[in-house]
Amino acid sequence: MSSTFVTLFVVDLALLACFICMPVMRGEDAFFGVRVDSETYRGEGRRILRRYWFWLVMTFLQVEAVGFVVSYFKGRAEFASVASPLLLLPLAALLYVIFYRQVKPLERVEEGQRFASSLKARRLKDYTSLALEVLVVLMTIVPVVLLVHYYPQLPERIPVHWNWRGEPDAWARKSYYSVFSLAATLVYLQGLILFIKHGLLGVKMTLPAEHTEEYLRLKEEALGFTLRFMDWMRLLVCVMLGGLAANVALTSVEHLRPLSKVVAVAAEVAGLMMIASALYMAYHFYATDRRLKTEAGRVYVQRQRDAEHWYLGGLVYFNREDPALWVEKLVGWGYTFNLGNKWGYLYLAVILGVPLLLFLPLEK
Amino acid sequence: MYIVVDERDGRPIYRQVADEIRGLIARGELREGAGLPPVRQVAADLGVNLNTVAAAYRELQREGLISVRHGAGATVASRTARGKSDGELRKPLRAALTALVLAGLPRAEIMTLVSDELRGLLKRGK
Repeated sequence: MSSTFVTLFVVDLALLACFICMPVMRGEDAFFGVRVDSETYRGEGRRILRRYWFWLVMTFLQVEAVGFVVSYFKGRAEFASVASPLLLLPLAALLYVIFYRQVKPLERVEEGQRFASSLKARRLKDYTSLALEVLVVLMTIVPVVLLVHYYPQLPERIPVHWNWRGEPDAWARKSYYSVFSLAATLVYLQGLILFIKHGLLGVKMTLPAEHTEEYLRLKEEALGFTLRFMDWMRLLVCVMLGGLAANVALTSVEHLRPLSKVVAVAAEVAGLMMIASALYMAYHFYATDRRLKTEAGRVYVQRQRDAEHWYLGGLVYFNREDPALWVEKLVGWGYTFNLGNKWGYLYLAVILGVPLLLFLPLEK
Repeated sequence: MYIVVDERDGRPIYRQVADEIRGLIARGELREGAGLPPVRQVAADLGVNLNTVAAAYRELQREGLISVRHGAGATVASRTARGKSDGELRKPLRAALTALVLAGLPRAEIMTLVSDELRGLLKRGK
């Protein structure tokens, strides 16, 4: 029974919480991305939702029990660490889709409505701070310069991972790859976040013709907040990954070693702040939804024409006719991309590159 | 500031977009030099084809109400549409008045309606 198991149990618990909340659509007569009658929602809908929750919790308990038994009695913690999230995610997603299919026939089709479009151009320069850009560029370049400069002096065995006290706990043989992979990940992530930020400016903002002012104000506010959040994350990524990348040199070179502790602590603090910021962002979306509900009466607004293009219970949007690449999520908060748009696959490929890059430096 | 498009309206979408922007210019809510959002943004928000919005912008450009420059986007160029003869201007007026007459409204009521609408347009256009 290791701390790994406890960490993973917490991750699984968070996953379970996500799937429990996901189908509920912010206190409206809609769930699983499907709008239904008030009566249906309170009767048949409630029953379906409860059945879904029951099966979800049961699946969770079974997966955790198997993980616990295997890791506790067989001493194979790696089974629990790999199998339980890998098993739980597809099973929960499967349950979600099964229950979505039960809800779909109950859908109430809405009449075509009137919709609005803002006449205020959303431009990148309005959401960009020059000082921050300069800072981010500097903090991305400095570790790279440091590594290039000290590369000849680095020993054959270099640190690639540090524990929470800032002491190295994983090592690798010196190579261009092992020395520069963290810095490369940093540059990649900076590019990725900037790429997504640029894409989000063109997000499809669905504005009903009633209460348009309120929707417009709150949705623009939410978008502005998201873009500022991304800038903030770019800064934190710089401190965290840039710090770690620089530490490859700082830990190994004698006269720079005192600095390495400071940098390690800064990287750790940045990591914690990233988690805190993500939680605050979730709260902000939640608060915006509540304000929309009180000011405009409804949060979930879709054209029937668009609603027909959400698949798997509102998890995937595929619409070739829609010029928008980024759209507001149907279930959950934030934005997702239109898979009917060929550029969406570019985003998908670039985003899928991140986990690969994050794990590569750990290899020997 | 925003424009509204109604799918159940008989007019094609590009005409509705053009009419809405024309209305905002006439009422003075969009002033000369004011920038319009890129075609892509409006098309995405409304969930319509890019060509639909581009057609509306082209129509407004032909009338001299907006100017479109590459890179700089579209801006409001003038508050007076050009190139329409007296006869062309009368046609929609006649159609609208015919509808009112056929609706059975007496002359005085029609006059009140017309002056109300006109006042609404000119007041904000000042």
